[in-house]
Amino acid sequence: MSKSYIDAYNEAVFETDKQAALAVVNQALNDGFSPEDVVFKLIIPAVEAMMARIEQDLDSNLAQHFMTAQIAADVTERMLEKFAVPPEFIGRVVIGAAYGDLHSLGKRIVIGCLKSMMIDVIDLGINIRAEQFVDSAVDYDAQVIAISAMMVHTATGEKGSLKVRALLHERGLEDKIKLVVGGAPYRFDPELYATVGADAWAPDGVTAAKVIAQLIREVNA
Amino acid sequence: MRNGLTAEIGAICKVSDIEGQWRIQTLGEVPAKGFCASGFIDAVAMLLNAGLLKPSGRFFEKNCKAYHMEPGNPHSAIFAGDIDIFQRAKASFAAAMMQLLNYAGLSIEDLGVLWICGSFGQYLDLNSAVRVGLLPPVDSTKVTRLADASLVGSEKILVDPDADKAATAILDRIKVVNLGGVLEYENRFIDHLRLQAIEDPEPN
Repeated sequence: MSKSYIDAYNEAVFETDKQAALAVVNQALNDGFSPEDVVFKLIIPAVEAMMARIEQDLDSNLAQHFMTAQIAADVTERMLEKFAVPPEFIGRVVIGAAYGDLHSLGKRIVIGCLKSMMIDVIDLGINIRAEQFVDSAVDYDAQVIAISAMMVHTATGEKGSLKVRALLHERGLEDKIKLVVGGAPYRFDPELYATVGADAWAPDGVTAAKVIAQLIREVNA
Repeated sequence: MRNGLTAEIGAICKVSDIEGQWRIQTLGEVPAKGFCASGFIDAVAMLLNAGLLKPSGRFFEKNCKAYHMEPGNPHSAIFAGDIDIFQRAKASFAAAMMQLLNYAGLSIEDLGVLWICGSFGQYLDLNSAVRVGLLPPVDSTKVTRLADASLVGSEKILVDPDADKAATAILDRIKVVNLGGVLEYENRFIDHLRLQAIEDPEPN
């Protein structure tokens, strides 16, 4: 895919201009590129480059973080419907906010990145009990449970990921289902994830997608 | 916000564009000590109109830390971080209105009256509020402002013997909608972070 599409798409995303980003995608389709090309050669490299760019840019704002993930997920979903053969996901994640935690926007950035990187996502929503995380992961055959916690007490509380870990252990699921966490408290204390029984954590959406992809490969190996 | 104030003496309550020059007005007509909400919204609209602020919420100039609405007065400065905070507040507001319209199956055009209550609403410049996407673009003749609406209501309940009946009639028609956790609302919130007038129908 030519650099001009990539540059135009990136510029539109950087300016949080969804309509302009969609226009670039439509132009690429009209010019004969396949939906597969759009996802693999435009969206996936772009979301990665864009997250790196705005992470390093001290002037970047929240709107840019949200829009980068949202546009990527939106375009990917539109393209998946047009794939010549059904898309192959590399795996499945069950995601939600920890019990007692009502913050939903942080995990949306992660969901956007996961979807654009061809990882299937089951979003359970907010304030999710440990049992529901584990039961859903089993029902949906997911390789990874991802728990978002934006407050220290929902990150470290007994009903949060600690309990999910205990349930996975009790039910003998620890080889089949990996546990990842994310959210503000983990950024303040990079060792906290281990304290709450998680297998891994990530500070941002793109890293989360990479960490989760790696865990899926480990489970499937 | 770095220079945020309540509506107190010294707060910039209005910013106007007089032939390309910004002019600030403060409460009490004393030197500016910061912005109250109406002045801040005016300032954001002015910065957008001047092309200094982009719809993404970033300043056009690279490495620009702040713009001063009054040259030389540090209390009149607006920082990039202030804009970021404002975007979230106005996005939640605008997304809520559009979500409720969506639930009701109505468009902005269908609105007969737009009530703006609270003391802040009394001084809000409608053009600025529409420009930044805080309020829907409605004809100004459809806007009715009502200061101290809850106080007036309380007073009415106390002195008017029929008020109870009227209040009950209103209560019967009210449906409480909790937008927390509504996926559609969250999508709208993100779309409305952009600093631009609300579009109806919303772009797909």
